[in-house]
Amino acid sequence: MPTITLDKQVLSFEVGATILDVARAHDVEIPTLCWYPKLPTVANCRVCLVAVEGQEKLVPACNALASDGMVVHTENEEVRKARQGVLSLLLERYPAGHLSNGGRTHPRNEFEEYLVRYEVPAKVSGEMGLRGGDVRPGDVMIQHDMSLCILCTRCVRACEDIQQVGVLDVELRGEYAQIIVGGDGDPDHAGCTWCGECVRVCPTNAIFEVMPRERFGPDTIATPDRVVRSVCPYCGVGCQIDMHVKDEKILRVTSPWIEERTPNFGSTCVKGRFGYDFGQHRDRLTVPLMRRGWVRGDNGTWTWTGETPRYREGTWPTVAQGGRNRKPRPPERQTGKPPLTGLPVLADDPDIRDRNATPPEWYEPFREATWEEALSLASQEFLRLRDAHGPSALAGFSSAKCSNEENYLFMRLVRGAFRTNNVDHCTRLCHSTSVAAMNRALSTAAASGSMREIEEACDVIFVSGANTTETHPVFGALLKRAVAKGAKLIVADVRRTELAAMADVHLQMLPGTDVALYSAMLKYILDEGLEDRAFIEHRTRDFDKVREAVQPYTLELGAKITGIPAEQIAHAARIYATGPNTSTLWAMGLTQHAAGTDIVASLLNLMLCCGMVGRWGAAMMPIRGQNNVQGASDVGAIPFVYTDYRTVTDPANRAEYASEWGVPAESLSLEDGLMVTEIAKKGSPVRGMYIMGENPVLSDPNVTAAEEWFRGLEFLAVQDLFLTETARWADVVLPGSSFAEKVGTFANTDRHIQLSEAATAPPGDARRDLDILIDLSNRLGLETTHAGAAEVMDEIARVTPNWRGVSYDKLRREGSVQYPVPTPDSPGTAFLFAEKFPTPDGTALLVPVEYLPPSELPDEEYPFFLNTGRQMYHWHTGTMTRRAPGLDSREPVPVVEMHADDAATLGVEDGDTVQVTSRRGSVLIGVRVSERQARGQVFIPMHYREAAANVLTNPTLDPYAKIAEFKVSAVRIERVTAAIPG
Amino acid sequence: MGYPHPIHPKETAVLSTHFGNEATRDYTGAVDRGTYTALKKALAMTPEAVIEEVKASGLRGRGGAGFPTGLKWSFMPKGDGKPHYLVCNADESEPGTFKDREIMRWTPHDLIEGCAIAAYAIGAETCYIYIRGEFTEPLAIMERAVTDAYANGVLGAAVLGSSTRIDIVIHRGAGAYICGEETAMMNSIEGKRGNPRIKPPFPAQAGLFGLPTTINNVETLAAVPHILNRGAAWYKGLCLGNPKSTGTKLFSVCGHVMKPGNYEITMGFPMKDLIYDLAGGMRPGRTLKAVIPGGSSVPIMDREEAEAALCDYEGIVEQGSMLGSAGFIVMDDSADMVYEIYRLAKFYAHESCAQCTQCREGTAWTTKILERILTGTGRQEDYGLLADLADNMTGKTICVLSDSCAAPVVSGIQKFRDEFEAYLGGAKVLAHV
Ligand SMILES: Cc1cc2nc3c(=O)[nH]c(=O)nc-3n(C[C@H](O)[C@H](O)[C@H](O)COP(=O)(O)O)c2cc1C
Ligand code: SF4
Ligand code: SF4
Ligand code: FES
Repeated sequence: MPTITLDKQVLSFEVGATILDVARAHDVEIPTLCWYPKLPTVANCRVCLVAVEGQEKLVPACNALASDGMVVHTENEEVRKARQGVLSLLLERYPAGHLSNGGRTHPRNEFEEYLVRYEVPAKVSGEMGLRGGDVRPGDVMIQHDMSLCILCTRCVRACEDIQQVGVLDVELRGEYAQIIVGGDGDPDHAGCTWCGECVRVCPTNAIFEVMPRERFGPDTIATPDRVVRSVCPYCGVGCQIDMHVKDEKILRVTSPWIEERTPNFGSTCVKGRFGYDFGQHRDRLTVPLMRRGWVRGDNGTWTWTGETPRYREGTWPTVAQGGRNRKPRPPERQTGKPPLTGLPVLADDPDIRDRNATPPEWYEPFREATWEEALSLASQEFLRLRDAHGPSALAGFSSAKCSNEENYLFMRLVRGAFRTNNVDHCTRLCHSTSVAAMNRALSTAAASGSMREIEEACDVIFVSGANTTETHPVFGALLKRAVAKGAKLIVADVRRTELAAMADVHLQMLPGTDVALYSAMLKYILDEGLEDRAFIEHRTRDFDKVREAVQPYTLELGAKITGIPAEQIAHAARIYATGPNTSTLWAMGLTQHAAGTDIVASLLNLMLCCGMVGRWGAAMMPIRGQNNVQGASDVGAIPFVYTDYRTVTDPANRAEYASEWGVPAESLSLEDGLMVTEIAKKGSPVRGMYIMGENPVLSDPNVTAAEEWFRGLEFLAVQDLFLTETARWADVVLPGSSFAEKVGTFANTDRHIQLSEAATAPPGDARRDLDILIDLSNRLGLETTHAGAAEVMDEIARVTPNWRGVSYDKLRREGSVQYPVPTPDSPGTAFLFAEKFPTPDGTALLVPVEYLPPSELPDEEYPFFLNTGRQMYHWHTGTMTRRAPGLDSREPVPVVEMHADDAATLGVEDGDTVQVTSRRGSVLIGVRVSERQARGQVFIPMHYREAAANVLTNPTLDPYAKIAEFKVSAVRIERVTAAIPG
Repeated sequence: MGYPHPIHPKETAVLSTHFGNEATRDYTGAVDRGTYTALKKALAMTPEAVIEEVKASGLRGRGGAGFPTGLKWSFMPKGDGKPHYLVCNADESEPGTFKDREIMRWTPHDLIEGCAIAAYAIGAETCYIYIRGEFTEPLAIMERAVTDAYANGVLGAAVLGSSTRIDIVIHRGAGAYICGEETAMMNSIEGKRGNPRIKPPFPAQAGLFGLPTTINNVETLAAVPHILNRGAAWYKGLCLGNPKSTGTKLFSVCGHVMKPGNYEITMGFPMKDLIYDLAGGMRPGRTLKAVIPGGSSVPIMDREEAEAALCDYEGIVEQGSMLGSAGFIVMDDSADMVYEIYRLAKFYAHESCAQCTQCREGTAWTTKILERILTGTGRQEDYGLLADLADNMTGKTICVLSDSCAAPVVSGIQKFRDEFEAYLGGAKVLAHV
């Protein structure tokens, strides 16, 4: 190995390393300002200059390659002088009064630390003037103080190269050079996504977060009591974040260091960095609530003195009724981004939260209760219903927002104390069809690969029904980086999403025609001989059946059904099959259909016949929605399985769990439980429910019927942070804890189990969810003695072969670990199925499927396709994001997106109100003209209770996974003038 | 030829023979006088042989740095299967320099021929000619010439009927001096901000669009056909003593001389003769005070140095400056050196691409200090401050623009200190600058 001499140390290095690389590898510190790991090197600050013997000029260590025998001085007189020169030139234009008058002991940022270290004299004259630049006036999340800017251009490169957005740039030359935001200073026009990557990399805090500063002041945020590693509570990417805490308050969120191996490499999206503050919202529940009408007798038992039979009344409109109220006019814009001007600013409107806060009347039916009262009522009623009507009268909704430990204890409570398998969570409404199809074909329920492999080793990315740049922005940025590095991108989507617009091929199909598309692609591949014969032969079963099944799907038929030109289908098929490494990604666009399982199966057929799984670079990736939807399923919060997808119908499994839990085996049910969409339904046997952190009254398809059903329950206990649309109908409301208030683990979309530490305590009397579960389990007679989350994890590891090596010690040591982790010293598993699949004979099953049109298609009466889904700034039913002021300011009002031609036909413009009506109900909602929508198709986000998309959606269920057809229903749209129709 | 003046007997006209000749600048005129015979000859040789011939001629880059041209070409990878590019640097924005302009105006086909030969030698199918934005007339002429060259089979898929493909694309600059720097030019052609790039990687590894690229000045390329036609030995023989500097060179002489113009002389020609004889000497009653020989980016020479210097790469270095682009800015005793230096600094402050700390801040600060010296608020410490800044600006930045700004300041203070003293001592002051 070649060596260089660095300040007398002889150090070896790999060819291609820079002097800086060598120095860093050996803890020799060379100051840097413009250099930042993973950003393109620009070597513009010149602070890292070092002397190399035999070279006349000083060279920048960040860009000069080390060469064998080189002798380098990193701190000699000449070098120090050059550095002082650079630093004093920068200081000359820097507002640093505090540095010359004693403030030198408190450098506030990287740049100031160097000033102190190199003893840079105070500034000479200041005649150079402070620097300027765009400052994002009025922005509620990110603003600039450009007098602090030292023009290192880290922000420009971070935006351009990490996030692949390119909002920031340098304008002008010479001393006038400055950082600008887009062409006109408006981040919206420049496509800003408010991810805050610029905030993260700026070495002088010239770019800063507004809210922490406004709430706590710059001095407080500079001196946190502690910094706690946590996991972002939003999507399945599972970004690790650092929470800064002072006086038991969360000051702000920052990024883990970019070189740490986190799934996000420290990046976040807008929600991760600016959406943490919902936990401090004043709507937080801090004491248990009990519905008035429950009265405790002298013997301690509770009796219901209210209406019988139970049918709860409220003084507020139901979700369906509320949908028909007039909304504020949405900000006018073309593509989903309001101009910054005119948005309410925190200073002018100190509480934009008022608009979405829990309405006061929702609290009216409740009185405050003690924990003892609340839990004794809950346990009394659960036991009563169980004993009177049998275990199947009870059900529990666990939560993909809760930790693995909480989900485990929840399903343990339902199975061990309720004695039923009626436990489910929102995976039902999300990837249940993927799980069903993957289980059938491969006996697996998780992604085969890792997100990072797509950037590292993938040649072709096939994205289907996933608006990744909005719904999983950090992963979306990774995909864009992969494309920038040369990977080909094929996007199958009904909408022209950001990824679709940049794709090599955009397969813009008619809604719900996926099976026809993938079958036509597969037939073309087989006809052309592009399939992977060896893979088919050795690794799959039933190929002949599938070949048979795809025969009718010629390119012509495929084109006819999907509306995509035949040659595009062929082109995409060829790219897909020839890889060499193709990764297959999908999300709700595929799964939320009445034929969802078949759709996923046909995609898996395509993938398997091309051999595109089981290699680094060829990943199978269902992109999971919630931050712990993977984990909640893995630990058994679904009706058919215990942890590790072990079936409940197998007595051997039952025996194992019974003995672990210390209950008689017979007390555990051998029958599959009911699923979310079967429970909250007229005619279901369920009379009492325990819901932890879910909001089915907004998330269920056809919420009109769902809300009716919940109002008639005999007993409802809801554990949540806020009085949600569901909790307002509860008998007891148990105030739980946010992600920041407890320790727990979460499993992300690529099987990383990650530990999130507690930043603060829950507010008021609110309790950690795990403590509530333990308390309630014990009251229900299920002995539960776990001292904390770590002990729960130990139990999970005992009963979960794939997690056997997981422990809190290991997680704290290694940061995160990708399961399977069979032993404590296992490094985890980055990708699966290199040799075989976990099926009994090791091969994958190819399942023939046939195209069936969606169950409801547009007709004369309901001429539009309705599609529903997520927006970048909001999350699911909005419980959290609509209480995060930064996020809510970006998307304050519900809108229906439609094509300009459709808007013209309807006679409406951007911002006008329309009435959207389906066979289930109708809502009033503002119009947003959007380039993303195809003609005849409209899109309504799912986040807004005031215009709930699920008033309209079609509740027809997939026969296997019981997911509803959220993505396709037929609606009618009418222009609304002054009078609101009844 | 001392265009716009007739050829002086002491000139050696090679490139400039046809300057001013309307008749020979279009395609037929050029072919009649022999243009494109060298290209034909080159196509019959191997690329390596062409490179060897240019190496043997001793031709060095005429854009400023004087790097041996054949050697530069030989850095291009061979057989790598990637597209290669040639870039012809016609950005000529250096103050006092106007030779490339005349080459393009009068002998556009000779430049195209030079480009084609170079492209062939380095295995490039595409050559970009990057023409300074203000050069509207040369641009029109070059565009016309390229069109004619295509029409006559000189360019395109089959150059002169051979199987070689060469395309020329003309790219017009937008008025930034820094885009004359070779890597800034590449960024500019790619549609990016014209910032010089850091090295490594060098252009021959990863240049334009990340692919192997050679960049040469107009005059360099225009000399190549003559070398192939008349032989390396002939070119090498054009030398007045110093074998490291060969051939003829166009010197743009401007400023306080009687006959400003482009003079083509053999390397090693005495500067004294160039100024006093060819360029007609000083105006009546005036004496020579200073010369900046390399465009503006080199140290200022005083009268003694200028009169002693020989006009070639080494000769001028010996007298404390550099040949650079050979644009001579001649100043007589009426010149206010402090003011002139201030003007130069201001030019560089305006043109700095603003990447490097020292250049961005240093050029501007230097200008501000010179400004206050001129307007009567200078201080004795300003010498130290200027020297400090110059020290920071020299040898520490990505490109040499920063050094270029420091050079005249340092040499100016050193050689014309009395003029600075006059301002600092209050003997002289300008109301405004
Ligand atoms: C700031 C700056 C400006 C330059 N401007 C020019 C120019 O206008 N024309 C030119 O030919 N070379 C210019 N150069 C030199 C080029 O970078 C490069 O060295 C030259 O084009 C190489 O060609 P040659 O080897 O034929 O001389 C400039 C260099 C610098 C640092
Ligand atoms: S704003 Fe910050 S990151 Fe951006 S160039 Fe200025 S100092 Fe660097
Ligand atoms: S020296 Fe000046 S012009 Fe050259 S790269 Fe640096 S800042 Fe730009
Ligand atoms: S860190 Fe190397 S030049 Fe800025």
